[in-house]
Parts: sequence; structure tokens; C-alpha cells
Amino acid sequence: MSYFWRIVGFAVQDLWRNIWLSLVTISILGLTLVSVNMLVVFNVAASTAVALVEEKVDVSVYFKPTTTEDQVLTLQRDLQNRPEVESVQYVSQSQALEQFRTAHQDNTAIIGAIDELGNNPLGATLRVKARDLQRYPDIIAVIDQPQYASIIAEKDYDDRSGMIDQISSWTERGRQVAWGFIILFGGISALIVFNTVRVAIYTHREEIGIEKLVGATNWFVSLPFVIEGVIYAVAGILVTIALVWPLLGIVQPSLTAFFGAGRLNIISYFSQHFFFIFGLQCLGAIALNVLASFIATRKYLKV
Amino acid sequence: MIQFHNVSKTYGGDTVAVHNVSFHIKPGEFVSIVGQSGTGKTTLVKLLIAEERPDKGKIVIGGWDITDIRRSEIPFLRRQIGVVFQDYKLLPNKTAAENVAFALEVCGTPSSRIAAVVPQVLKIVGLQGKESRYPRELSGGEAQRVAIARALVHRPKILVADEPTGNLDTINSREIIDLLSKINEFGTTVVLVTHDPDVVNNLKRRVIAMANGAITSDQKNGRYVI
Repeated sequence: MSYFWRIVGFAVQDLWRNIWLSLVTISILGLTLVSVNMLVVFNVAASTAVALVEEKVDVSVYFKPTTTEDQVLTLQRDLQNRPEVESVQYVSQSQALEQFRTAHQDNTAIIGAIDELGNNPLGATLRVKARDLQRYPDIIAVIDQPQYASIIAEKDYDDRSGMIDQISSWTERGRQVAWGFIILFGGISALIVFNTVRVAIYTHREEIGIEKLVGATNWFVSLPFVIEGVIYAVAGILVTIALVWPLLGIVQPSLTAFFGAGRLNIISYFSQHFFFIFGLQCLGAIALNVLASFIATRKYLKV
Repeated sequence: MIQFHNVSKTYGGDTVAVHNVSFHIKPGEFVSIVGQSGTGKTTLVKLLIAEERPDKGKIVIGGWDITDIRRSEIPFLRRQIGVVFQDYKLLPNKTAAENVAFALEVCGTPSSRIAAVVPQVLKIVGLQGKESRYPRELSGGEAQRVAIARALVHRPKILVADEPTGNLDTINSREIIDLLSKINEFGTTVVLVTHDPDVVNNLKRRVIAMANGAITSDQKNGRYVI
């Protein structure tokens, strides 16, 4: 164990001797990881937007005024028994009239015309919501069955699939751009870690020569540089956390304004998924840095 | 202990450093390898510690054929061969004791053992009381003693000294050679590479002379003759 800590000590010593280069490496790594976290924010916001639009999609079935309540409830039961249906809301004739009056209370001409008619000209309504967007055609097929044709005045499928497709398309494009940045910064980070290790090897060439002369194993000579890569990754993730948290605070008011209060709290999301988000990024950064350091030691250390 | 069988080494295809060299050094021997600069003495040292590989021939150290030694085995060979150079190769930012300890640290020796061994070795080479001095605070002779202490710390069977007196005055040179003789008396095989006739003539031990990469003479109780 002391042997391991001795190697870690050598790694810290290497890092400290090239402190400015180390700081640049950690900064670039932090920048890469910040862009990864912005992709996470983007993904969460896009998913929330799609869910919000999906919630607003439903099928409204308007019945003829002559349709009896039993006939409406028969269709309601038929729909409720289907697995693709999430909910069916029944609006009776009188509720429909009440809602109509409320909606047009300022329009005296319309209210006057309704009063003039004397009886309720509106039929009952069923509002049907599917479990997911792809199931609406199945629901419409149920409504279109011949036995219901005589009681239904019209149906209104609030088709927002176009909007959802557009959001999905923007999201996908945004995701591609974000991935482009991640790959770009990731590549730059790997190259910078590679170069930092190369410079560290050059700086320590005298010491490395003596290590080899007195019988240090190849692992002992190269491991400090690989551990240096791990230290860069861990330092990079700490820098990222320090930068991302204030950024989330800046982004949150815009998200609240867009989605409404209580709809998306990105800070709570990051708090709840802290270990998953940053743990995964830490592992990714460690893997990238260890690989870059390993290649640099193999290339320049001749071990 | 050390066997060279028809060993040749060429650099860049046409620069012959060592040509068809054969010799056998027995355990406990003190052998001086002499010759002018560029005769292949340092290449012999590099071949001994597997820093270079021969193009032809065979090298056997303590029964171990190192001709085609694997990279992963080189550290274990070097722990059996202590090496001292003309320029000491000490780390300037480490004290005398730390330089010696470094050789043990990199090989995974426990700290408690390092703490016990380092003062002993420094005492053997006559540096008691100077453990905390940095190389810049030591004379040339003292710095070379630190290098010898570092070479001895693994208790090697062979000590190779490549021009150890090259940077030293006469008195310090004599002290270093006396130290090498003392180490040899304890049973360590010593290979001294030098171009200093006085050092070799005073020793009156086996001398292998080289010229143009080949052995020109091999004399027991020899003198510096080229």
C-alpha cells in the first residue's frame, strides 16, 4: 500500500512541478464537462417540453343533443376498458351548456340566442386521453365504429403531433450540436492531457533515467503519469461542479418562465441525480485521461 | 559472473562500437577495462546493463543469458548490477540520503527498511554526518561516494564504474579507487572502465585493453598498455 502511495506522491510531485500546464489541462477538461452538463440541461428541458405538449393532446367526442346519457356512458365504458386509453372525461349536456355560457358570458348576442332557443342545443361531450401519442389512431377507430355513428355529431382530434415532431427535430438537432461540442472539447482535452504528460516526461527525463538505472519497474516509471491523468479528471469534475451550479441558477428563471412555476426545477433535478450525472462524467473523464496518459507514456517513455 | 561471447554492436549500420569481443570475468574479480575515448568501453557498459542489445554474440550475467532480455526483466537485472558514472547522475533536489533512498523507493522497498539501510550504506562509503547535504554542497569525491552508495544499496553482485574518477583530482580519485577495492574485498565483482593509466597501474589487477571496438590485450595483474 505504501508503494502505491509512493507512486501517487510522485504523480502529485509531477503535477505540482508543471502547475501552470496542469491548471490549463484541468480548465479545458472542466470546459468539456460543462458542455456535457449543458447537454443534460438541454435534454431535460426538451423532454419536459414534449411531455407538456403531449399532455395537451386529446380527442373530444361531441354527441348529438338527442343522444341519451346511457348511450354516451356506453361509449365511455367501451373506451375506459381499452388499455390504450388513459382517461375519459364525461361532460353532460347541462355541464356543456354551463361551460358554453361561461365561455361567452360577455357576448350578449350569443347568450341571448341560447335563451331564445329555450332548450339546450348542445350535446354531451367525452374527452379522451391516450396513454401515448401513438395510440390515438386506435382510439379514433373505436369511436368510428358503426354503432356509434348515429349518436356522434362530430369529433375533434387535437392533433399536435406536428408540433411534437418539430420539437423532437429541434431537440435532435440541438443534441447533435451539443455532441459536436463534446467531441470537440473531448478531443482537445485528450490532446492536452497527452501533451501535458509528454512535457512532464521531458521535464523529468533525468529522474526517469535514474529510476530506470537503479531498477525501477516500467510500471513504477509510467504509473505516476497515468495517475496524473486521473488527478486531472477528478480536479476537472470538481471545477465543473463549481461552475455548473451557478449556471443552473442562471438558467432556472428562464425555464420557469417558459414552462411555468413548479414544472421544471433543474437545480433539484441535478441534486437528485448528482451521483449519476457527475459520477458518470468522472468515470468518462478518467477513462479518457488514463488512455491519453497511457499512450503518451508508451510513446515517449520507451517502457 | 560476466561472459561476453563474440559480441558485436554497430550503430547506424556502419559505426562499429564493439567488434567480436569475448571475455569472462569470474565472481569477486576486479577488472579494469581501459582504452582511449571512442574505443567501445562505454558501449560495453551499456551492453552489460541492457541499455543496448548486441547485434551478434551472447552475454551471460550470473548464469542469466541477457542477450535477448525482455524489457520487463531489465529492472531486475539492474538491481543486480550497481552502476556508477563519471557525472554521478545524482538528483540535484534530493539530499545525499534521499538520493540513496530513491533507489530503494522506486523498487518498492518498505520505508522502515529504507530508513535502516540508507545510513548504513552512507557509513560504508564514508559519508556519515553528510546525509542531509545536497549534491551542490558536496565535493566531487563526496558526490561520487553518494553515487557508489546508491549503487550498493541493492547489495549488487556486480559493480560497474564507468570513468568514476574522470571529474576528480588525484587525491579524490585515489580515495574512490580505494573504496571500490574495499567493496571488491567484500566479494562484489567490480568492473572499472577508465582511461586513466595511473589508476590502473596502481591497482595491479586484471586489465582488459580495447582499441577500435576490439580487445587488444587481457592481462592478469596488468598495466595500462595500448
